[in-house]
Amino acid sequence: MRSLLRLFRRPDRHAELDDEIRAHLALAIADRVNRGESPEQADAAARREFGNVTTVAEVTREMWGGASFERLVHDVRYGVRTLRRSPGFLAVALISLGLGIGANTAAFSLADAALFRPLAIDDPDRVVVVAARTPRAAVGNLSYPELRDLQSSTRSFSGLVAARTSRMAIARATDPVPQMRFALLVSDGFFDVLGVPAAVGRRFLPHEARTRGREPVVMLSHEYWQSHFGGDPAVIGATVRINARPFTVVGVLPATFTGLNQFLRPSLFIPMTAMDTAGTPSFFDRRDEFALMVRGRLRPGVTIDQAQAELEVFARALARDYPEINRDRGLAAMSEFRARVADAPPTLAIVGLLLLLAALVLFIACANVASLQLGRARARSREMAVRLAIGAGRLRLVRQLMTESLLVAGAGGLAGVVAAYGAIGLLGAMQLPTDTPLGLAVQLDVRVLVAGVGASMAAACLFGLVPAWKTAGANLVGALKSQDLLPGRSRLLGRNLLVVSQIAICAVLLVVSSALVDAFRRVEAADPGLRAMQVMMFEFDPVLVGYDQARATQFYRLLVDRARQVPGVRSATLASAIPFRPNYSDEEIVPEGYQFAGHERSVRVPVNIIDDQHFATMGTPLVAGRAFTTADTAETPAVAIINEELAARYWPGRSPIAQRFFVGPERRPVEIVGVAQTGKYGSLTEAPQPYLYLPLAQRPRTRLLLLAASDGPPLALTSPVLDAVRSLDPNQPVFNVRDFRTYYEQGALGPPRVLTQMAGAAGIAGLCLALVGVYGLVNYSVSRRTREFGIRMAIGASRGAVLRLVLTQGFVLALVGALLGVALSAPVFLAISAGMSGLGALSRWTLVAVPLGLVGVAVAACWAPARRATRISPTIALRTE
Amino acid sequence: MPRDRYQNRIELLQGTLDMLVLRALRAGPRHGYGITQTIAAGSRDVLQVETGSLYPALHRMEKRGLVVAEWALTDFNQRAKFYRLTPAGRRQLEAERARWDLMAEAITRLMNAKDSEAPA
Repeated sequence: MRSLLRLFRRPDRHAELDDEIRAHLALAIADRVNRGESPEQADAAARREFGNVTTVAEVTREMWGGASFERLVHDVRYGVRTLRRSPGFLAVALISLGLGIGANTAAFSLADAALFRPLAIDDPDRVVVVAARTPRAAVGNLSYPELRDLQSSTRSFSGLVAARTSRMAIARATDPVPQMRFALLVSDGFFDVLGVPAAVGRRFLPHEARTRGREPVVMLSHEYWQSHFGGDPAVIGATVRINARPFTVVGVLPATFTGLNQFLRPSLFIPMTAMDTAGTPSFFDRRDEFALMVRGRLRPGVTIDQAQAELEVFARALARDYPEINRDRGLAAMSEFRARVADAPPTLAIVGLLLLLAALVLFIACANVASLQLGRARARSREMAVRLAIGAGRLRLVRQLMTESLLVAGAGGLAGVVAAYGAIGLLGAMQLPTDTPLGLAVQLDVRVLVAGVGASMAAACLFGLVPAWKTAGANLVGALKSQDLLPGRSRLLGRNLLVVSQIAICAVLLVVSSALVDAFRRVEAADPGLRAMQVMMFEFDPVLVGYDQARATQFYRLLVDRARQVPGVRSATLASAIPFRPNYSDEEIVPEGYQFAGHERSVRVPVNIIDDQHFATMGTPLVAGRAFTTADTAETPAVAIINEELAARYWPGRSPIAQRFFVGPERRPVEIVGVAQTGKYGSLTEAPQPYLYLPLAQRPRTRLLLLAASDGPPLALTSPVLDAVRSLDPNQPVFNVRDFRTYYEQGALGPPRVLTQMAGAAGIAGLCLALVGVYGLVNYSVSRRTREFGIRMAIGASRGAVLRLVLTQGFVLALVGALLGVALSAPVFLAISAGMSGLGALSRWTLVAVPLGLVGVAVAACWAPARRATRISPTIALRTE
Repeated sequence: MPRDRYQNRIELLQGTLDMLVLRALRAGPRHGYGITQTIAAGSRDVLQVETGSLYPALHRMEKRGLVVAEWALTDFNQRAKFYRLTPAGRRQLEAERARWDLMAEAITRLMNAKDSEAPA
């Protein structure tokens, strides 16, 4: 309370001190006038005698001491005043830190979205991922019977829940045609166990999620509710049609909860029992249908290790009971973070890389500020010495300097957050081109801001401590007697070291980012194995409007026929998959005569179900055998086309044509009739992947893509093809209508492009900051050596010699730094490329160009100070000091 | 920043400034400027107290309760902040005075001693 009062009194006290000083001056002037001086003379003399009013007030206020908060306020005021007096320093510091902290905040926001951000659930630390550990997957899904067994026979969890993702067609009452959306099918008690409340309406009631095939109810995601229902609370109780069945909306989820997967944000949440349709072999009874993501809430007092131990025992029991299915399946409990890392190691590599680059930029930025601070320490040495002399403690001075550094860091942090905002917009553009929201929710939230502030505080300590420590340890008497606080050589050595390390780190940054840019160039130039870019795509799922397989097959046959008649269509084809988006279907095959190692008995291969026109339309070259034809029907022997990679893996050194493999539990034989060129399927940087094509006639599907190749601009095909669809069925939903080039550029080139842009931006930012560092140091040393240059020129040194002298300083610094950096970048690059396939080898060009360029621009940055040195007039230089 | 602005013509011995200020206030309340004048006059202009030392000292002693300050009018009708000794200040002055006498006597004796008596 007292300190609060004192705080309120503070302005009075400041004003009072000012009054006191004014009175002193007035009295002194009056005295002098009385003694016969003119008022002007008296005024000037009195002021001269008094000294610096601001400083006197400053040091007097220090005697007040008082509450630490008041001292802090005082330090902050003092710091602000000091900084205002050196706008150049402030500007360089702000730009440096803004770039450094901005880069870090942006990188952290990506890392947070991809890895760190916990689920928005109650007490997320107590919720663990329960996953299968198989030879194929580190984080495998579980089957429904496995979930039930776990729920009934384990004791480590107070609740076990599960969910699976599915695509659904949803139509509001007013929609003529349904839309495709991701839905999360949840087990009973899902939201209760996780502790997710309903933002509007209510959660599912126990009976709604427990009994199969009744009570069709749905909850909406906040995002979908906002975009499709305008955030209207009246949506509760409304009816929507999902896969052509009526569902009642009972609630809306909070905006923070977006499902279990950070890359996929479902729009709908449905009890999984509601989707149990009679007749089909039920997912609820099949032990080998592994589709569930399982989460368990640990019982109070149970550790994750105890849960893990219990799960291992349980997994062995399952393996005994169901040896056919569970033989190689372990079970594991792990934290959400560990599951994310284990699930997608490349994510960790990319995130780690961006964090590393950003940290390097921040280091260079901090070195700039530290170097400037060291330079300023000279100018301020007397100020500090005076304050020490009148009794300010060294600790007090250190705190003062640290406050100043924190102020700079705080302002820099603010600038950084603004910079990060722009970068995050760029990252947010990293969305896959689908109708359903897919992609990271990169956002500037509290956690990201905390990370930004943390980075600035770390920066403050880094660049504030060095000068503070040097000042506090300074020799007082020496400082008062001379201009310099510190022995010049040691401080210059410190700044030299800083600049050399800046250049070195900049070289690492440039090597890494140019390697990325190189890799991206190769990606852009890479042949995706699809020559035809003049292709339009349309996606259908007639099941959503109540078709069965027979009707769907009929629909597709008519559709592709009509599409081929549309003027401008060169060819048209049906396919179940398209590259550069997740392929949800694969086939388990057993190549005939192939000896698997270990326990493996089969291999899973992604599959694309296609018709006879596919290779012609997409321009994928066949390297051997034939394409499918209309003669391949359900009645003829089963045939397949494989890609070169699959051929090379399982039929090495011989032609796979007319060889066989077996599929399905019945081990039906399939004959290979053709080999297609290996393309890129998941991403352009992937290693060659095995891939399998099966004929549509032998593998009927309801969900297919129509791909129409055009002679002209493909978008012109849109309305005639849609007309053809409507002439067949006006209610048929059409999804993902896109031209393939746009799709390809967004989906395949987008993410690596954003990554490359970020790395490039980090490289350029680092370069600029390092150049500012070199310039600042050389400029500073020129001003210190004014006298020396004057003497040199007085005794006959030519301007050229002085110019060389200064440029040599910059050259040596840059050369040492660049060589050090290139040496450093080799291990750094090795570590990075270990985590990222497709980066390729370090190009020799890069290793030569980076140091050369760096030294070149560094010397260029010294040009201005060097010119200034040559213009020093010997007579003036000798008179200074 | 010009040199030596805050250094006294004769550097005051550490700790003597407080004593001089207290001594100047013994005759009655004075404002800051008055104190500098009193000290200068009393030392025949040998000792000049700099404002950069005086005001911190005054405020420090005010905080320690050795002096109290109040605003009043000067003889020339000007508002100024007058410092007055408190009983504690008076005791402090006596203590410092005693210490000073002891030291001055000791130093004088040492300086005047015959060489044979001086420490080796």
